Amino acid sequence: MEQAKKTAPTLRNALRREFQQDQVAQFAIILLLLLTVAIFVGALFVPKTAYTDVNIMNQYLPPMTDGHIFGTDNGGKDIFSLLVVAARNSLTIAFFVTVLILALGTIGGLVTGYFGGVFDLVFMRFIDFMTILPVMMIIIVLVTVIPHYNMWSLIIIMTLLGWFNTVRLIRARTLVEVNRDYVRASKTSGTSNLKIIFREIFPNLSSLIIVEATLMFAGNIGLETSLSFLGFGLPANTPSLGTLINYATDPETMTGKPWVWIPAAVMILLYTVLIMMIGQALRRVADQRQSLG
Amino acid sequence: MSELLRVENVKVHYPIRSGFFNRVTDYVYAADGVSFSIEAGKTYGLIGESGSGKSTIGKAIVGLEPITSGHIYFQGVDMTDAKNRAHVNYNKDVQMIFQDSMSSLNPRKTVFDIIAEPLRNFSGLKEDGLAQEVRHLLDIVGLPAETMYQFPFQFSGGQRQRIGIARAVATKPKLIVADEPVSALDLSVQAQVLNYMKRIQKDYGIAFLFISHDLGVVRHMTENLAIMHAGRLVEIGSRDDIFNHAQHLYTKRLLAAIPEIDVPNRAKNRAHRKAIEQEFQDQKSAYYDADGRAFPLVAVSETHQVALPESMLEGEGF
Repeated sequence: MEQAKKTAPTLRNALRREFQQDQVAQFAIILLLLLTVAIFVGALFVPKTAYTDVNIMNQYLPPMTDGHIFGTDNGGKDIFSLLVVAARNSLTIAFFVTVLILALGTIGGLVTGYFGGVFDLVFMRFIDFMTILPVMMIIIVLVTVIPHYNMWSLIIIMTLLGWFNTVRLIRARTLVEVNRDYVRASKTSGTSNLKIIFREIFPNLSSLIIVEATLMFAGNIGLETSLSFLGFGLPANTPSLGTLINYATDPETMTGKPWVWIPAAVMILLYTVLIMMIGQALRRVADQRQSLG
Repeated sequence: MSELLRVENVKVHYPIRSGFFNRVTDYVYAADGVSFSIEAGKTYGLIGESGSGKSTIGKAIVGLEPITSGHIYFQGVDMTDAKNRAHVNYNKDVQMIFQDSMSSLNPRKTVFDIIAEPLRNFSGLKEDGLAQEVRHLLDIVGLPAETMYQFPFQFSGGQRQRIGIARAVATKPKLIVADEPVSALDLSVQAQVLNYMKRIQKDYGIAFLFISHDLGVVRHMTENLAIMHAGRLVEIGSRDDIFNHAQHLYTKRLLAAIPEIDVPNRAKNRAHRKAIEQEFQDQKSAYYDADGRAFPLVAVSETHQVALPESMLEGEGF
């Protein structure tokens, strides 16, 4: 019994073990946390004028001149301040989109997988239809036609067009769980369907959802920055990592003034790679057969 | 004794879909017109080979399997309709013990939460009362109270099955359906778990429907037996009726298949088994109708019913 207690495969223990075994993931999670805290705290100290006011006299200053660590852009705006605020905006959008998609996708997948029947059939055909739509194009169209467009509209649009694959994933696992006897035992114990779905089945999907969340977070950073890069992401007065990289579309800036766009590119690369490293460890938590420990 | 539960002509058919339009082309007759009744406080064994529909009947009784046709009456009230079941808290009185103790306990819940689940739904006890009741239930199945806040995977198979029993007994039901409760356990642990069940059955006067393919286990546990084959009952009787006066061909074959450790007579036993098997193959057509279904049950004595064809009844002078 004591032996069993020590190696209890609870989620917390599995997480701790996988990160202890994997130095890379350990390093990644520490760096990611430090970076994120630095961005969000740092952004509080950046005045709004730093990324809205244009100062032509300071145009394209190279790095380390006049106190501009990364130099300035074509409007004389400090790249470092822009980078911090842009990273905060991009991360905030990716975070909210991920949370909302997971909420919608998990509820949808659990309910349709649990009840099955005609509802499942119709709902999944609807999901099939939605997954084949070219999401990027629809987002671009919606962004251009929506009045009073701001960060929140972008979050809602990205969420509503992005939750279909999560439904499919969660539904697949729910179908497995529903056929296990503990669900039947709960039914004979008189527990209501909703309670069975959210108190019995949902906790058993938690590891899957955590893995899905990390990978989706990286994906959503990518989606938002590519939209902003194309000019359909955040509104013009709100910096995003994508708008910073967009400077590189000008051949002159691309080759001659790399300090304008390289920091943002490195930031995206860093975030995606770090999240993937953590995702590796989390995937082993979700599927213990791949465990290192 | 009063009749507790009556199963009347219950049929459970699963459609087989095939073809281009996925139409229903045929049915699997998991249970095909099964009728029997259970009296309060008595033990019943339902025996049959794999796929004979015994588990289907068990699940239909507790309400986990939708019934195609037929009725299940509990204390005279029709429980076939799910609304009726919810209305009278049917599952407070009829509980189930599952075969696979690992999958029947939610791995993310503590033993306390697992056993308290039916109590929360049916008894209206508050947290203090729940803890006390769970401690009492654990004591009944011989587990120490400290195990209350542990998780299912920290227990051995036998201990887990005892947790399952504690959960089934929690609401003080009148009938427990035990679906092969020990078939996944070690032989040495089987006896232990069975004895706990037997003691609980006696102490609380619970009726037991014991579903198994193991005749030895059923003989130990129950005084009434029903033999099932291919979705239909072929013989119902007391322990003595079945083990000593088996009438149906299939029952005889099933009894012959019980393994015996009897080294000196090994050759003789094997010859006997072979002879019974030969007899089964030869006379199969006489005991089953043209579609391979067993005949309706006919009473041959007060306790004993057999699915015999009419011709054979005359022949044997009943």
